[in-house]
Amino acid sequence: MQALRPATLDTAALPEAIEEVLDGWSRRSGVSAELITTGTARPLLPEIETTLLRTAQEALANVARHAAAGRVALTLSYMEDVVTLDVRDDGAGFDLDAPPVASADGGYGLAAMRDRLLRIAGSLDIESEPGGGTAVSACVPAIPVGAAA
Amino acid sequence: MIGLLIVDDHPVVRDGLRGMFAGDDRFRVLGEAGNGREALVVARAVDPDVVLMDLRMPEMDGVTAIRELRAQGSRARVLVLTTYDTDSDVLPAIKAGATGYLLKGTPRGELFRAVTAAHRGESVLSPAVAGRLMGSLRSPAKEPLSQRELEVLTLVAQGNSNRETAGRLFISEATVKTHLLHAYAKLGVRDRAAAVAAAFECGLLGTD
Repeated sequence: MQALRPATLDTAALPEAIEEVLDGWSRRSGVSAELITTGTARPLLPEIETTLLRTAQEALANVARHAAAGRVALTLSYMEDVVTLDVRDDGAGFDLDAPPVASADGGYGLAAMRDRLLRIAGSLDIESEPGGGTAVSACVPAIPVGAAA
Repeated sequence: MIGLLIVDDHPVVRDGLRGMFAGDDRFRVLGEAGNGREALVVARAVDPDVVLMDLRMPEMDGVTAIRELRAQGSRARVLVLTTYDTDSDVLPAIKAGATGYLLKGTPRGELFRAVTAAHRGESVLSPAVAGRLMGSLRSPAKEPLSQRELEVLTLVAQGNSNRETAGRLFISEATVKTHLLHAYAKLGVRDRAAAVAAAFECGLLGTD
Protein backbone atom coordinates (compact mmCIF):
# COMPACT_ATOMS: atom_id res chain seq x y z
CA MET A 1 0.00 0.00 0.00
CA GLN A 2 2.86 2.37 0.84
CA ALA A 3 3.93 2.73 -2.75
CA LEU A 4 0.42 3.69 -3.73
CA ARG A 5 0.16 6.35 -1.11
CA PRO A 6 1.04 9.66 -2.69
CA ALA A 7 3.37 11.89 -0.72
CA THR A 8 0.69 14.54 -0.62
CA LEU A 9 -1.49 12.48 1.71
CA ASP A 10 1.19 12.33 4.39
CA THR A 11 1.01 16.03 4.91
CA ALA A 12 -2.21 17.25 3.37
CA ALA A 13 -5.83 16.52 4.12
CA LEU A 14 -7.73 14.44 1.60
CA PRO A 15 -9.46 17.39 -0.13
CA GLU A 16 -6.11 19.07 -0.75
CA ALA A 17 -4.58 15.82 -1.97
CA ILE A 18 -7.43 15.31 -4.40
CA GLU A 19 -7.19 18.94 -5.48
CA GLU A 20 -3.54 18.37 -6.30
CA VAL A 21 -4.31 15.25 -8.33
CA LEU A 22 -7.05 17.14 -10.11
CA ASP A 23 -4.84 20.08 -11.03
CA GLY A 24 -2.25 17.80 -12.54
CA TRP A 25 -4.88 15.84 -14.41
CA SER A 26 -6.47 19.02 -15.78
CA ARG A 27 -3.13 20.31 -17.04
CA ARG A 28 -2.35 17.03 -18.78
CA SER A 29 -5.79 16.40 -20.25
CA GLY A 30 -6.74 19.98 -21.01
CA VAL A 31 -10.17 19.37 -19.49
CA SER A 32 -11.29 21.68 -16.74
CA ALA A 33 -12.19 19.88 -13.56
CA GLU A 34 -13.24 21.08 -10.17
CA LEU A 35 -13.48 19.64 -6.69
CA ILE A 36 -16.46 20.45 -4.52
CA THR A 37 -16.34 19.49 -0.87
CA THR A 38 -19.56 19.42 1.14
CA GLY A 39 -20.01 18.82 4.83
CA THR A 40 -17.23 19.09 7.37
CA ALA A 41 -13.98 17.65 6.07
CA ARG A 42 -12.15 15.69 8.75
CA PRO A 43 -9.24 13.26 8.85
CA LEU A 44 -10.23 9.63 8.18
CA LEU A 45 -8.32 6.41 8.61
CA PRO A 46 -5.36 6.45 6.20
CA GLU A 47 -6.58 3.30 4.40
CA ILE A 48 -9.86 5.01 3.68
CA GLU A 49 -8.32 8.26 2.47
CA THR A 50 -5.83 6.37 0.32
CA THR A 51 -8.59 4.31 -1.26
CA LEU A 52 -10.64 7.40 -2.05
CA LEU A 53 -7.63 9.12 -3.57
CA ARG A 54 -6.91 6.08 -5.74
CA THR A 55 -10.53 5.93 -6.78
CA ALA A 56 -10.30 9.57 -7.83
CA GLN A 57 -7.11 8.92 -9.81
CA GLU A 58 -8.51 5.90 -11.61
CA ALA A 59 -11.84 7.46 -12.36
CA LEU A 60 -10.06 10.49 -13.78
CA ALA A 61 -7.81 8.24 -15.86
CA ASN A 62 -10.93 6.61 -17.29
CA VAL A 63 -12.41 10.00 -18.10
CA ALA A 64 -9.24 11.00 -19.92
CA ARG A 65 -9.03 7.73 -21.87
CA HIS A 66 -12.63 7.11 -22.76
CA ALA A 67 -15.01 9.94 -22.06
CA ALA A 68 -14.04 12.87 -24.33
CA ALA A 69 -15.60 15.03 -21.65
CA GLY A 70 -15.98 18.80 -21.63
CA ARG A 71 -16.74 19.05 -17.97
CA VAL A 72 -15.59 17.01 -15.00
CA ALA A 73 -16.42 17.50 -11.35
CA LEU A 74 -15.37 15.62 -8.24
CA THR A 75 -17.61 15.95 -5.24
CA LEU A 76 -16.37 14.88 -1.86
CA SER A 77 -19.32 14.72 0.53
CA TYR A 78 -18.62 14.37 4.23
CA MET A 79 -21.72 13.10 6.00
CA GLU A 80 -22.21 11.85 9.56
CA ASP A 81 -21.57 8.17 8.90
CA VAL A 82 -20.20 7.97 5.38
CA VAL A 83 -18.11 9.93 2.92
CA THR A 84 -18.90 9.76 -0.77
CA LEU A 85 -16.69 10.67 -3.68
CA ASP A 86 -18.43 11.29 -6.98
CA VAL A 87 -16.57 11.69 -10.24
CA ARG A 88 -19.00 12.91 -12.87
CA ASP A 89 -18.34 13.81 -16.48
CA ASP A 90 -20.49 14.91 -19.39
CA GLY A 91 -18.65 12.70 -21.87
CA ALA A 92 -19.43 9.72 -24.07
CA GLY A 93 -20.76 7.41 -21.37
CA PHE A 94 -21.31 3.72 -22.02
CA ASP A 95 -23.98 1.05 -21.89
CA LEU A 96 -24.20 -0.36 -18.38
CA ASP A 97 -25.80 -3.53 -19.72
CA ALA A 98 -22.77 -4.18 -21.89
CA PRO A 99 -20.00 -2.95 -19.63
CA PRO A 100 -16.53 -2.63 -21.06
CA VAL A 101 -14.16 -5.37 -20.01
CA ALA A 102 -11.28 -4.49 -17.76
CA SER A 103 -7.94 -4.83 -19.46
CA ALA A 104 -4.32 -4.11 -18.79
CA ASP A 105 -3.99 -1.70 -21.68
CA GLY A 106 -6.33 1.03 -20.63
CA GLY A 107 -9.60 -0.70 -19.75
CA TYR A 108 -11.84 0.76 -17.15
CA GLY A 109 -10.69 -1.36 -14.23
CA LEU A 110 -14.02 -0.87 -12.53
CA ALA A 111 -13.93 -4.31 -10.93
CA ALA A 112 -10.58 -3.58 -9.33
CA MET A 113 -11.86 -0.24 -8.12
CA ARG A 114 -14.88 -1.92 -6.57
CA ASP A 115 -12.77 -4.64 -4.92
CA ARG A 116 -10.54 -2.05 -3.34
CA LEU A 117 -13.55 -0.23 -1.90
CA LEU A 118 -15.14 -3.45 -0.66
CA ARG A 119 -12.02 -4.12 1.38
CA ILE A 120 -12.70 -1.03 3.47
CA ALA A 121 -16.45 -1.76 3.71
CA GLY A 122 -17.14 0.73 0.98
CA SER A 123 -19.15 0.44 -2.20
CA LEU A 124 -18.99 1.62 -5.79
CA ASP A 125 -21.86 2.76 -7.99
CA ILE A 126 -21.51 3.41 -11.69
CA GLU A 127 -24.16 5.41 -13.52
CA SER A 128 -23.82 5.92 -17.24
CA GLU A 129 -25.54 5.80 -20.57
CA PRO A 130 -24.25 6.26 -24.07
CA GLY A 131 -24.01 9.98 -24.75
CA GLY A 132 -25.10 10.85 -21.23
CA GLY A 133 -21.81 11.01 -19.36
CA THR A 134 -20.74 8.86 -16.46
CA ALA A 135 -20.88 9.17 -12.70
CA VAL A 136 -18.66 7.01 -10.54
CA SER A 137 -19.62 7.11 -6.91
CA ALA A 138 -17.62 5.65 -4.06
CA CYS A 139 -19.17 5.45 -0.62
CA VAL A 140 -16.99 4.63 2.39
CA PRO A 141 -17.53 4.59 6.14
CA ALA A 142 -16.42 7.82 7.80
CA ILE A 143 -14.06 6.27 10.33
CA PRO A 144 -12.02 9.01 11.99
CA VAL A 145 -8.30 8.82 12.50
CA GLY A 146 -7.49 7.20 15.81
CA ALA A 147 -10.61 5.06 15.95
CA ALA A 148 -9.91 1.56 17.25
CA ALA A 149 -9.66 -0.97 14.47
CA MET B 1 -56.79 7.99 -18.92
CA ILE B 2 -57.09 7.32 -15.21
CA GLY B 3 -60.03 5.14 -14.15
CA LEU B 4 -61.58 6.19 -10.85
CA LEU B 5 -63.75 4.62 -8.19
CA ILE B 6 -65.50 7.05 -5.83
CA VAL B 7 -66.32 5.71 -2.37
CA ASP B 8 -68.40 7.90 -0.06
CA ASP B 9 -71.57 7.34 1.91
CA HIS B 10 -73.04 10.68 0.87
CA PRO B 11 -74.61 10.63 -2.63
CA VAL B 12 -74.21 14.39 -2.87
CA VAL B 13 -70.45 14.10 -2.35
CA ARG B 14 -70.21 11.34 -4.97
CA ASP B 15 -72.23 13.41 -7.42
CA GLY B 16 -70.03 16.44 -6.82
CA LEU B 17 -66.85 14.47 -7.43
CA ARG B 18 -68.26 12.71 -10.46
CA GLY B 19 -69.26 16.05 -11.96
CA MET B 20 -65.83 17.49 -11.28
CA PHE B 21 -63.99 14.65 -13.02
CA ALA B 22 -66.50 14.42 -15.87
CA GLY B 23 -65.26 17.78 -17.15
CA ASP B 24 -61.72 16.54 -17.68
CA ASP B 25 -60.86 13.87 -20.21
CA ARG B 26 -57.78 12.69 -18.33
CA PHE B 27 -60.12 10.98 -15.89
CA ARG B 28 -63.01 8.58 -16.12
CA VAL B 29 -65.25 7.60 -13.23
CA LEU B 30 -65.70 3.84 -13.56
CA GLY B 31 -67.89 3.33 -10.55
CA GLU B 32 -69.20 4.49 -7.19
CA ALA B 33 -69.74 2.85 -3.84
CA GLY B 34 -71.52 3.95 -0.67
CA ASN B 35 -69.37 2.07 1.82
CA GLY B 36 -66.24 -0.05 2.10
CA ARG B 37 -67.97 -3.34 1.48
CA GLU B 38 -69.54 -2.09 -1.76
CA ALA B 39 -66.19 -0.60 -2.73
CA LEU B 40 -64.56 -4.04 -2.65
CA VAL B 41 -67.23 -5.47 -4.95
CA VAL B 42 -67.15 -2.58 -7.41
CA ALA B 43 -63.34 -2.48 -7.41
CA ARG B 44 -63.23 -6.13 -8.38
CA ALA B 45 -65.66 -5.46 -11.22
CA VAL B 46 -64.18 -2.27 -12.71
CA ASP B 47 -60.47 -2.52 -11.75
CA PRO B 48 -59.91 1.19 -11.07
CA ASP B 49 -56.51 2.89 -11.23
CA VAL B 50 -57.26 5.18 -8.32
CA VAL B 51 -59.84 4.90 -5.55
CA LEU B 52 -61.08 8.06 -3.84
CA MET B 53 -61.92 6.77 -0.39
CA ASP B 54 -63.90 8.34 2.42
CA LEU B 55 -63.00 7.03 5.88
CA ARG B 56 -66.05 7.06 8.09
CA MET B 57 -68.79 5.03 6.43
CA PRO B 58 -71.41 2.53 7.56
CA GLU B 59 -70.91 -1.25 7.18
CA MET B 60 -67.21 -1.07 6.42
CA ASP B 61 -64.98 1.95 7.08
CA GLY B 62 -62.33 3.26 4.74
CA VAL B 63 -59.29 1.94 6.56
CA THR B 64 -60.67 -1.58 6.58
CA ALA B 65 -61.59 -1.23 2.92
CA ILE B 66 -58.05 -0.09 2.04
CA ARG B 67 -56.63 -3.12 3.82
CA GLU B 68 -59.12 -5.45 2.13
CA LEU B 69 -58.39 -3.97 -1.29
CA ARG B 70 -54.74 -4.84 -0.78
CA ALA B 71 -55.71 -8.28 0.44
CA GLN B 72 -57.80 -8.98 -2.64
CA GLY B 73 -54.87 -7.98 -4.84
CA SER B 74 -56.24 -4.73 -6.20
CA ARG B 75 -53.64 -2.71 -8.06
CA ALA B 76 -55.56 0.51 -7.35
CA ARG B 77 -53.86 3.41 -5.58
CA VAL B 78 -56.00 4.74 -2.80
CA LEU B 79 -56.36 8.45 -2.19
CA VAL B 80 -58.18 9.15 1.04
CA LEU B 81 -60.53 12.10 0.68
CA THR B 82 -62.10 12.89 3.99
CA THR B 83 -63.25 15.56 6.40
CA TYR B 84 -60.98 14.43 9.18
CA ASP B 85 -57.35 15.18 9.79
CA THR B 86 -56.82 13.81 13.25
CA ASP B 87 -53.92 11.51 14.01
CA SER B 88 -56.25 8.62 14.69
CA ASP B 89 -57.57 8.89 11.13
CA VAL B 90 -54.46 9.77 9.14
CA LEU B 91 -51.93 7.26 10.44
CA PRO B 92 -54.07 4.10 10.21
CA ALA B 93 -55.08 5.02 6.64
CA ILE B 94 -51.46 5.44 5.59
CA LYS B 95 -50.47 2.28 7.43
CA ALA B 96 -53.26 0.37 5.68
CA GLY B 97 -51.74 1.35 2.36
CA ALA B 98 -53.24 4.68 1.28
CA THR B 99 -51.04 6.47 -1.26
CA GLY B 100 -52.36 9.87 -0.31
CA TYR B 101 -54.52 11.77 2.13
CA LEU B 102 -56.51 14.86 1.19
CA LEU B 103 -59.19 16.82 2.93
CA LYS B 104 -62.58 17.38 1.36
CA GLY B 105 -62.71 20.89 0.04
CA THR B 106 -59.35 20.53 -1.69
CA PRO B 107 -59.56 22.75 -4.78
CA ARG B 108 -60.24 21.03 -8.09
CA GLY B 109 -56.77 21.66 -9.57
CA GLU B 110 -55.03 20.31 -6.51
CA LEU B 111 -57.30 17.28 -6.43
CA PHE B 112 -56.55 16.54 -10.09
CA ARG B 113 -52.83 16.85 -9.47
CA ALA B 114 -53.15 14.59 -6.43
CA VAL B 115 -55.01 11.90 -8.37
CA THR B 116 -52.43 12.02 -11.15
CA ALA B 117 -49.57 11.82 -8.67
CA ALA B 118 -51.23 8.98 -6.75
CA HIS B 119 -51.69 7.15 -10.03
CA ARG B 120 -47.93 7.39 -10.56
CA GLY B 121 -47.48 5.95 -7.09
CA GLU B 122 -46.29 9.17 -5.50
CA SER B 123 -47.31 9.99 -1.97
CA VAL B 124 -49.71 12.88 -1.65
CA LEU B 125 -50.47 14.73 1.55
CA SER B 126 -52.47 17.91 1.88
CA PRO B 127 -50.56 20.56 3.85
CA ALA B 128 -52.93 20.33 6.82
CA VAL B 129 -52.35 16.59 7.02
CA ALA B 130 -48.62 16.99 6.59
CA GLY B 131 -48.61 19.53 9.40
CA ARG B 132 -50.55 17.14 11.56
CA LEU B 133 -48.05 14.38 10.91
CA MET B 134 -45.16 16.73 11.62
CA GLY B 135 -46.68 17.62 14.96
CA SER B 136 -46.40 14.05 16.06
CA LEU B 137 -42.90 13.69 14.67
CA ARG B 138 -41.35 16.85 15.98
CA SER B 139 -39.10 16.02 18.85
CA PRO B 140 -36.26 17.91 20.50
CA ALA B 141 -32.57 17.45 19.74
CA LYS B 142 -32.93 16.69 16.06
CA GLU B 143 -29.75 17.08 14.12
CA PRO B 144 -29.99 19.97 11.70
CA LEU B 145 -29.98 19.28 7.97
CA SER B 146 -26.68 19.97 6.28
CA GLN B 147 -26.39 22.61 3.60
CA ARG B 148 -26.18 19.88 0.95
CA GLU B 149 -29.19 18.02 2.30
CA LEU B 150 -31.16 21.25 2.09
CA GLU B 151 -30.00 21.79 -1.49
CA VAL B 152 -31.08 18.27 -2.43
CA LEU B 153 -34.40 18.62 -0.66
CA THR B 154 -35.05 21.98 -2.32
CA LEU B 155 -34.52 20.46 -5.76
CA VAL B 156 -36.75 17.51 -4.87
CA ALA B 157 -39.42 19.89 -3.56
CA GLN B 158 -39.33 21.64 -6.93
CA GLY B 159 -40.39 18.36 -8.48
CA ASN B 160 -37.03 17.08 -9.68
CA SER B 161 -36.48 13.33 -9.75
CA ASN B 162 -33.33 11.89 -8.16
CA ARG B 163 -31.83 11.71 -11.60
CA GLU B 164 -32.61 15.35 -12.38
CA THR B 165 -31.37 16.42 -8.96
CA ALA B 166 -28.13 14.55 -9.59
CA GLY B 167 -27.84 16.29 -12.95
CA ARG B 168 -28.36 19.72 -11.46
CA LEU B 169 -25.73 19.17 -8.77
CA PHE B 170 -23.51 17.23 -11.19
CA ILE B 171 -23.16 14.32 -8.77
CA SER B 172 -24.35 10.69 -8.86
CA GLU B 173 -27.89 9.56 -8.16
CA ALA B 174 -26.42 7.25 -5.53
CA THR B 175 -25.17 10.24 -3.56
CA VAL B 176 -28.48 12.08 -4.00
CA LYS B 177 -30.19 9.04 -2.46
CA THR B 178 -27.70 8.97 0.40
CA HIS B 179 -28.35 12.64 1.16
CA LEU B 180 -32.10 12.04 1.03
CA LEU B 181 -31.88 9.08 3.40
CA HIS B 182 -29.97 11.22 5.86
CA ALA B 183 -32.53 13.99 5.52
CA TYR B 184 -35.39 11.52 6.09
CA ALA B 185 -33.72 10.24 9.24
CA LYS B 186 -33.17 13.74 10.57
CA LEU B 187 -36.73 14.78 9.80
CA GLY B 188 -38.10 11.51 11.13
CA VAL B 189 -39.92 10.65 7.91
CA ARG B 190 -39.92 7.69 5.57
CA ASP B 191 -40.36 9.06 2.07
CA ARG B 192 -39.76 12.08 -0.11
CA ALA B 193 -43.31 13.49 0.07
CA ALA B 194 -43.21 13.48 3.84
CA ALA B 195 -39.67 14.91 3.84
CA VAL B 196 -40.68 17.79 1.61
CA ALA B 197 -43.80 18.43 3.69
CA ALA B 198 -41.75 18.27 6.88
CA ALA B 199 -39.12 20.65 5.58
CA PHE B 200 -41.77 23.19 4.58
CA GLU B 201 -43.46 22.76 7.93
CA CYS B 202 -40.22 23.44 9.80
CA GLY B 203 -39.60 26.50 7.67
CA LEU B 204 -36.50 24.91 6.16
CA LEU B 205 -37.81 25.44 2.65
CA GLY B 206 -39.40 28.61 1.33
CA THR B 207 -42.95 28.55 0.10
CA ASP B 208 -42.31 29.95 -3.38
